[in-house]
Amino acid sequence: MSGTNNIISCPACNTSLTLRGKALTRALTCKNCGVYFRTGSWNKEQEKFQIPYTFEPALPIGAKGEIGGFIYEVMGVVIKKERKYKYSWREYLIFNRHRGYAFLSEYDGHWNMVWPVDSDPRASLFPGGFYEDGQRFQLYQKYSADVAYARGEFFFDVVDMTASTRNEEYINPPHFFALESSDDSMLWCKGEYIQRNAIADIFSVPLEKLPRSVGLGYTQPASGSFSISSLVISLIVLILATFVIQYIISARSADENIFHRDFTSADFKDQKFVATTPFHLNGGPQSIQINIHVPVDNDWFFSEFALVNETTGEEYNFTKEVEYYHGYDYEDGGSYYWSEGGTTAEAYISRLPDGTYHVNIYPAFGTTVTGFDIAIWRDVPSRLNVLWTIIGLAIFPVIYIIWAKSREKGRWADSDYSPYE
Amino acid sequence: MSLHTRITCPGCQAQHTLRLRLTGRFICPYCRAQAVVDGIAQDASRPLITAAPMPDDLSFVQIGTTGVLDGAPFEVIGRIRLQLRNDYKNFWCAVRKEGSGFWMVESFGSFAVYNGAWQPYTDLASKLRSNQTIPLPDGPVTGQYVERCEGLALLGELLPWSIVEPGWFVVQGSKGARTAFFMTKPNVGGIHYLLGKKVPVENLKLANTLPWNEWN
Repeated sequence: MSGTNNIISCPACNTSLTLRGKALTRALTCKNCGVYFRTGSWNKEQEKFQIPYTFEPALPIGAKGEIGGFIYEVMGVVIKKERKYKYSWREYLIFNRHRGYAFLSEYDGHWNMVWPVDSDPRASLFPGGFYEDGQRFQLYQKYSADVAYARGEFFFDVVDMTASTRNEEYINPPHFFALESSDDSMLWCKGEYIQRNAIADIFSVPLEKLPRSVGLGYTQPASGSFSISSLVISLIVLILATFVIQYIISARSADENIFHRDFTSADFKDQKFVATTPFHLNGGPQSIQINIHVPVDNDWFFSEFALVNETTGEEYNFTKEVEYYHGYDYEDGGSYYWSEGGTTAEAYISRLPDGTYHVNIYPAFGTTVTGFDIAIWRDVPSRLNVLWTIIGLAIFPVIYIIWAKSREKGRWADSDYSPYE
Repeated sequence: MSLHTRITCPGCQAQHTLRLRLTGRFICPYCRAQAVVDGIAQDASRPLITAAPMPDDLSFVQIGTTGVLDGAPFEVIGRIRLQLRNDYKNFWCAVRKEGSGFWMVESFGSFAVYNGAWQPYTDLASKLRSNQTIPLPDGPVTGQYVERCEGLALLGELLPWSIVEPGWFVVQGSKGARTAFFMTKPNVGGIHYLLGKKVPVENLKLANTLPWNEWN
């Protein structure tokens, strides 16, 4: 059922214009002189814009592309300028007969597809945002804008509507909701980030003709796209698995005491060192742990140790220092107890081959220390291994979370509602 | 006017058979003359009115489109197109086999169905605003927009519809899938509304729609 309303004359230059959108078109620009005018009778004013009509949009009017299985055609484009901060972005009106209209907005080379939704998405509110379908959408910006340039056809008076509406945008990258409201209307739209190269593919436009992406788009998903919560959950699972493995290893370890003796300073009367009695390791490579306990009290103890393989003569040397100090500090009329250090130390040596061993001990005593005791355990599971494993597992998640938080902070740098300030 | 009543076009004298149990108007497809039926009898005393031509707005629904609503098949037999300032509404009049009718309303690919008759709105007109709660007997809706109707075109057999001249205001309100359409003309006849529900177009199983190869 074709009507006769598909041809209209430009009120400024009288050029005859065929309406691509037929009766849907409510405002358009003249292909000849660029003036913007309405097809209805409510406003006969003609608009000229700050940006000259010679400006060529990245997506030409009439370009077609398939989105979600439907062919959309670019009907019009506007450049909008925010009133407070004066930044500009481009909005393309695209149309499919079965799906209605939608927008492609582009700012700093980042693209979003935006389409009207039938109902208010706010399922529940929180300060500065709302939940929709379990997803948290946080207020990113509120603004008012004006049209600085228009070209093509529009299904509404884009100039008047832009000037008369207030806008709010709530983000949960890559999605967002936009509310456009005035005294007469309230329109919710949903949006989703689209990669620049996807736009080029969809509309068969050379990629280099599209503006280059700058920084992180406000709805751009973080690259890598690990969710922090899934990363933390994975880390917890791996740590628990590490503990389980450690428990199994511990259960299967002999953890056997093979030497224990108290030494006093009298044992060192004529010599600088003392040797433990020999002990045997067999059954394959295994660890030993040497525990030293020294009853130091505001004093210190230091010793060099040499674990000697009597079969091969190989030595494993290490040192240990034990010191323990404590007392009271008096400040501001009060006293504060303090202490530092402790009375024990331990050494762990892993993967010792089979053989007969003893330990040579070269102690140096403080002023009040009179003795110490040594205990040697074989086939001891290492608690340090667990610690290093956990540290190793945590490195990537920690670095990623720091990086992701830093990127998120950058995303909100242009917002008046940043949760990072 | 009962089911399958025949009427004579007041313009070209063509004979037409009505299919609705309660017809409000009939616009002759040949000469666009309006027969006002008002559910009782053809009112031949009214002056001959010719409806404005129906604009082509790229809708893929047409007279003769069929579909299924809540399990009952229907056929589109009439259309009222409202040209709003920044939108449009196609009220497609659909008839079920037993003669009951409903409005299937379409705008930019969004569909809603209004089953019942026009009801009087008795609360304050000042509540008919965008982003305001509009009280209705079976639960409130939230105002979405207020728009002036700038043009109106009619075609085929239609359910009762009171205002056929432009210049009145429409108010759309919704809550979830529930939606209400208000019609108000200042100082004329009060405010009436239709209550309906939004429907995904896939659920209507539309057939015999206009093929659209023009842009593909």
